[in-house]
Parts: sequence; C-alpha cells; structure tokens
Amino acid sequence: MYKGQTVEWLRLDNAGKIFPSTSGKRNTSVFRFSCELYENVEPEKLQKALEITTEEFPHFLSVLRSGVFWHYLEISSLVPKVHIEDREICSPIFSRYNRGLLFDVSYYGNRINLEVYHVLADGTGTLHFLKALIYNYIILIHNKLKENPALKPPYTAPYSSRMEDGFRKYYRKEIRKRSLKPQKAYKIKGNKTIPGTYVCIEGVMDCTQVIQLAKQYGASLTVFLTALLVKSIHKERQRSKEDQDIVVTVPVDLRKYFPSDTVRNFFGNIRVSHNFEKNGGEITDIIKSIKNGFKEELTEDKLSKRLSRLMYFERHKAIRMIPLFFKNWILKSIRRISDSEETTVISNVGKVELPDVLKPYVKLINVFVGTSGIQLCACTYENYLSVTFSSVFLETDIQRNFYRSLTEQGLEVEIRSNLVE
Amino acid sequence: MLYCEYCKVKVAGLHKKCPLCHCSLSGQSQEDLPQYPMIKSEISKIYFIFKLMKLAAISACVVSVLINYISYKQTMWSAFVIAGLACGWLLMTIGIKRKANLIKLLQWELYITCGLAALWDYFTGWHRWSIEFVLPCSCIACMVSIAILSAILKKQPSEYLIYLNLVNILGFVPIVFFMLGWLQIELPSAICVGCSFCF
Repeated sequence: MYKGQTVEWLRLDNAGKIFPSTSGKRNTSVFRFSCELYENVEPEKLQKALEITTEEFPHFLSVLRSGVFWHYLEISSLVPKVHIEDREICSPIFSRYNRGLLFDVSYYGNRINLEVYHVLADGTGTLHFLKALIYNYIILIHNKLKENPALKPPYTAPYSSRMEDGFRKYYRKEIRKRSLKPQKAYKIKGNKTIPGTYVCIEGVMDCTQVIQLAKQYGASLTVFLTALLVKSIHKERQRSKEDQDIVVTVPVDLRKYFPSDTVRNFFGNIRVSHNFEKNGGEITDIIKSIKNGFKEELTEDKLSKRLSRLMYFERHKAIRMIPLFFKNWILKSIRRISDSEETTVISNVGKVELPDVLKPYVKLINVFVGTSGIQLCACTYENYLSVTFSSVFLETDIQRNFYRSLTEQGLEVEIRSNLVE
Repeated sequence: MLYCEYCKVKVAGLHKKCPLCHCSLSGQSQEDLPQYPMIKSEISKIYFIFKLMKLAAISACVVSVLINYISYKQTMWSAFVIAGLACGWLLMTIGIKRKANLIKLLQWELYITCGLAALWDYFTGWHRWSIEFVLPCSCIACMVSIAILSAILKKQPSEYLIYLNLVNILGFVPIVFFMLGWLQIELPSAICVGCSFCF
C-alpha cells in the first residue's frame, strides 16, 4: 500500500455478514491454525514477523463496527501483540462490547498459534497469512536463508486482489429455487462444556497410508474421512433415532471453481447425507452415498447458483433497508434453522505447501474450529495428516470410534488433546 | 511415549488417562510441558457471585411481600421494593455487559435511568420530578463525565463521539417539554440545553 493511500473501511463479504449476528460464547466462529516448529519460539522475532506480515495483509488490522444496515470493517491503528498462549482453544475473539482486532497470534513452546475470527478470512485466506507469517519469522531467525536464491515469498498476489470480495465478483442474477421443506437431520446430544471452551482432540497420522486405505475403498481422502465420521456418529445413536439422516456440511473453497486470490471469505457449504435404514450400514454403503452426494453438489453450476441465491438475498432492496438490529434477529433465526438441518461439519483444508527452503524448520500444521456441535478438520503438511475434532460435548465417544476405526486397520495414530486428565 | 492399549494410539503430552476412552495409559512421557497450557477459569467465580446476588434480590422481594402482607396498612409498599430491585438489576446487567467501554456504559445507563425515572414519576402521580430534575441533571453529569473520561483514557473522537451525540440528543429534549408547558422549574433544563450546545 502506498503511504497516505490506505483503505479506511471495508464492506463485509456475503459469508462474513452472518458471523457477527450469530457468533457468541457457545459458537465463537473462531478458527485456529497452529504451526509446530523444531525449535522454541522467540517472542521478539515473532512480534517483528507479525508486524511485517500485517503490512502485507492490511485488512487484518481492522475492527468490526455496527452500521445502520450492516456491520463493516474499519481499519484501525491498533497494533497486534504476540503473547504466550493463555486462552482456551478458539475462545471468543469478537466482543460486541470491547472492540479489538479480530485475530490473535500466540506461542507456546515450539508452537505458533494463529486464531482468526471468521469475519476476516476463511481457511484458505488464513493459510496465506500463516504461510507469510512463518516465512517472515523463519528468515528473521535464520538470516542466512535470505541469500538463498530459491527463497521466494509464498503469496505474491496483488494487494487489491487480496481484499477482493469474491462473492460480489462472481454472482449472477439468477435464483436457485431451494425446496422449503426442512431437512430433518440427526442432532448429536450430550453434556456440554462451559461456553467458550471446547474439547479438542487431534490425531496425527501418516498421510500416504490413509490415502492408500481410502483408495482401497475407491474413495478420496475427504470422502473416506466423512464416511468414517458418519459411521462413528451412528455407533453412538439411540436405536429410536436410527431412521434419521446423518447430514454432513462440507465447506468448499470456491477459489477452485472461480479463480480468485482473495484472502477474505470465499467459500460455500454443501451438504451430503446418509440414511442407514434406506441405504445400508456398511462402510462401503456410506462411502457410496457420500461419493454420490459430492458428485451431485460439487459442480460449478450448482455452486454458482448457490452463490447467486445468497447474494440475491443480500442485495434485495427490501432486505437491505431493514435496520441491523432486526437483521441480527433474523440472521440468528436463520442460523438456528440451518443448524437444525445438519449433524456435523467436516472441513478438509487440504495440503499446506511451504517453500522447500522453509520445510526443514516446520514440523506440523494443524487446524481447529469453534463450533456449536462437533466438527472435524483435516490438514496435511508434508507426510503428516492431522485430523482434529473440536466439540462442545464432554463425551469423547465419537472421536474414540473414529480413531479406533483407523487403528483397527493398522494405522499408527498419535493423539494430542487439551483435556486435563 | 504414552500408549493406550485399548484404542491402540500413542498419546503425546502429560496425560494420565487416554483422552479417547479415559482408561489408564502405559509407558512413560518424555515431555516436560503439557500439550496445552493450564488455563485458570475465572468464569465460575463470576457465576457464583451473580447467583448469590440473584438469591439476595429474590429473598429481599419475598421477605418484603411477606412483611407487607402481615402488617398490611392500606399501602402495597412491597411493590416499590420489587420495582426498585428490578430497576437496579436492569442497570447492573446492562452495566456488566458494557464494562469494557465506560463511555458506552454511561450513555446506556443514562437512557435507562431517565426512562425508568419517567416511568416511576408517571406511576406515582406525575409530579414531574423526572423531567425537571432527573433528566437535566443526569444529562449534565453524563456529558461532563464523558468529557473527563475521554481525556483520561485518551480516546480518539471517533471512538466516543457517537455516544456523546446520543447524550446531547437527550439533552435537547427539555426544549420539547418547555414548549409543551410541562416544566414548572426550568433552571436545570436550561443549563442542560446550554451544556448540550457546548459539548
């Protein structure tokens, strides 16, 4: 950015508009990317690296303000400070009563944590920021790397593309008629944690072995993990509820279908489901249902229609005129209805690529997401596949079933958790 | 590395039980630090104090109703006690949520105080003390406090201007009362309107 020519405020993108109205202590809408290094973190160098990185991503230095009709981001002069990890995983960042920055960088031992409120960016966007932060930090620690000609910054998109609103760029004036019949989904129940805290369990395993196992069933990694998750949930169900669908929401990175370099939100949700009474209970039956679901929903046409439908609601003159106060209630109710139509969410962030020069210094990358139920996130770095669960339930039966279904097939899994026992 | 024989998983950190099945682990941990730091939860203390205050308020209501009933002398004074406690509770809950931003807190408390005072005045015979004294004096106090606080806390105008403007709007309302002829004691209202112009 040129000095004196900075953006003062930004409209929220279509997905970002929902979070301020619907996030709270129970569902914080915060996600955390953690990066484990081989050496302990040096706080002063991390602080310097953060200051350099936020210059490259100016919209991260903003606070959320309430306008008359919508919330908006206002660029702020607040300086982010790194600190030792002293908060629960994915604890609330956004507070209606205490306006601060919408992301947080902390460290613990050899681990750097980056927690971001979903209004600022989605998973892919945050990964760009994280990779730039790691890059800046490591070259501050190991100065000699700067002389390596192979070293290039991981993200070189133009500044204006980084803050571009992908939804606004790609929507068309067409509406997809969604059936108004609510889809009844099985809801997981259990004893809940204190609001603002999550039970987080991570399983680290060999990625190649999992992909080979998935190939034996004729499935991709995401389909395979989804099927295992569905089976794990089913094992804990009451018999009386076995006729209900298990519906899994899958956030899809729209950048793969609609080219964009944006760091902000640009994702859409699709839903896949499986009914054990109608479609069978074996793992092969579940994989078949999930695969068909993905095949039907993951088309450019359907995603475009879905994007356009959401933008239609955002841009409708009558809806725009409703004051924010009422919009918050309406969005909360819509979110409640939407949550009742899903059982769980699975989010595969995919393979995180770092420049080869930095790989010897980074051990592992993982991701956790704040949720109102139980959510699975998967992230691959080098040959490590990290599958994490964040849950509001104290019971860990679903997670146990999931990891046991992998170890029973001969895989080695290392478990990490924030449980105190 | 710790190991769970039942789940067949390795467990990192300093756990005593398996996070998945909560059975005992075998092996030795080679680590010094737990995987995640121990976070002390402050929430339970606040919940406890809140519950105690709720109990005290409800007990006071019940006791006052009982005493009023036993020694009934034509006046239901316990209604005042209940109404007073309810107003106090409202002011406290609004205040606690906004404690991080003092200026926003002051503006909200001002509006609620004036609103409640007007209601009390109306239901106790409309002696106009709410619009002649409460409204102007609390507006003046609020404006002065916001001016002092913004200087002490070194706030940027963009952070507190909206709240000051909302207080000023309320400060101009006595003009309406004056034109409607509702005011008998006009001095506090006049000072209030004057201050609203200045701030």
